[in-house]
Amino acid sequence: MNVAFLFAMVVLSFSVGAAQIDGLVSALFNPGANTSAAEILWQIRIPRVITALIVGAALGVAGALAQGATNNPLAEPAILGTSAGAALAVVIGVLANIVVIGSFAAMVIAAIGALLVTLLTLRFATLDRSVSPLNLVIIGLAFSATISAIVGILTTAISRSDARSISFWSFGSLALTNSSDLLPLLIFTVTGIVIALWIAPRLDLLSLGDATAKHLGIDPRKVRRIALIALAILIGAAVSTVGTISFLGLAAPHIARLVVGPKHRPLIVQSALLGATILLVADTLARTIAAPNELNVGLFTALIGAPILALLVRNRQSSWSQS
Amino acid sequence: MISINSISVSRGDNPVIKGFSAEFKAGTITAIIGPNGCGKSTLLAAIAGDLPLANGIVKVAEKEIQNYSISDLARLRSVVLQQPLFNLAFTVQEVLAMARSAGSTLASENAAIAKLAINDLVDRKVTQLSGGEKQRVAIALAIAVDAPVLLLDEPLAAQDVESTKRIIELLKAEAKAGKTIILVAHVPESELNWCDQIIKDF
Repeated sequence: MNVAFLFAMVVLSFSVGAAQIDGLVSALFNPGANTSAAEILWQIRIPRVITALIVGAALGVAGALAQGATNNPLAEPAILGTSAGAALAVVIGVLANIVVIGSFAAMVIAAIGALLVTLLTLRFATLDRSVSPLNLVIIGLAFSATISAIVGILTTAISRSDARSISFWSFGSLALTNSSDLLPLLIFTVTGIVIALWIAPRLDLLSLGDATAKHLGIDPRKVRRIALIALAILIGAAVSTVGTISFLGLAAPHIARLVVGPKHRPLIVQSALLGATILLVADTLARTIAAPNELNVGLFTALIGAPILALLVRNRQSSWSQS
Repeated sequence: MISINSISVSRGDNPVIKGFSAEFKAGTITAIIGPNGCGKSTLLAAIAGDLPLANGIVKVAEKEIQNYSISDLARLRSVVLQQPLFNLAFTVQEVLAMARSAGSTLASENAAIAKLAINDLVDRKVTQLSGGEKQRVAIALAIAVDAPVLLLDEPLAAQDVESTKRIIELLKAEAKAGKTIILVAHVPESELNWCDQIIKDF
């Protein structure tokens, strides 16, 4: 059902855009045809749709990992500082002329930045050994805000087009992606999701608390470290390609849990599907609603994801304990 | 089975246990009792290997506890916390299957369900159980591992009369089968005549 809807959305987003395409079907089956339809479809729309699907899946899975690893329903990459860390690393890399946005190297340094800031948040939140869920969120938000401010200052103080604008780093955009970004993005995302699926059964045990997980033979710190590395790989790829898209990482796993329950392996698969669907819908709206102008995609992930999340959690028993 | 030799444990800067020693033989039940805040749970956590020792030695099966890997220790001793945490809405059955990482099997999980008489809970979500039910599930989770050492922090605290009786009978049967059982209790010594050893001054 899910997959069918996703497929319908893919077809729909091939057919809508700033330019009208005549002969969509023939263009779809003749990628080499020398028509403007084939060119728009194969050079612009298809790469963009694929980017939305990959990044959406990455963000959905990243959210499931963030929540599972911290045992916290409020955790998501944009709250733990993961996304901000990735953005800062890329901006510094671009300004220092080390990397180009969308490249393999940019993803590597973005993943490193993502991991470092996430670890810093976790370390800071548990300094006094009180692993209060609220503390983690407050400290994560503070780190995210601080680092996002630094990213904003860096991007505006140095006017270079390849550093992207502050709205790119705050709300994300798929407008500047091109087909050469796809391969590194795909490699990173697949790697992150494979690690996530592998560690998933042990994330189930973390929901019993670190002490019980350990009593049952699992090293919670090791599990968390592996999950955070997968998280950083996914966010590194996503943020360095399309900027920071918040809320998707929070909403996708919550909605997914209502569909498949709390078990992390099915949850990760479902979060990937939902993340891909929501981001594709959001990006299609972002590029068509005010065409030929583009809006930031993050506006639409919030607009779609937030009400769905609120309604689902309101109307049905959430998977998280109420205490 | 377990021997502790003049151990000292601190919580923060507070020394809670100072130079305490004891022996726990296989096939026996030991109760740790005492007023609130005297360090009963701390002592149990030290025996479980959950806390670093400031001093002294805890040996399980003739080997110092910190020399066991996490997974080996999980097969040697199981622990029931005073307030088990169930953060996600897994069913009871799904939670019991998590003991597989410590060597449980479907058969041992079903046996634990029968022993605790929680058959009617297996499809319920653990997040929706009462305190006493959660505790029984936590005991079932520990029993499913079938480890030779069983450590329980106030397992009878939230139980009604019937469940209390059943859990006591269960612990006696497990001890008879050769297990070493240590529990923290919050009842008068006179109600613990089913235990083989009482520890109250430490």
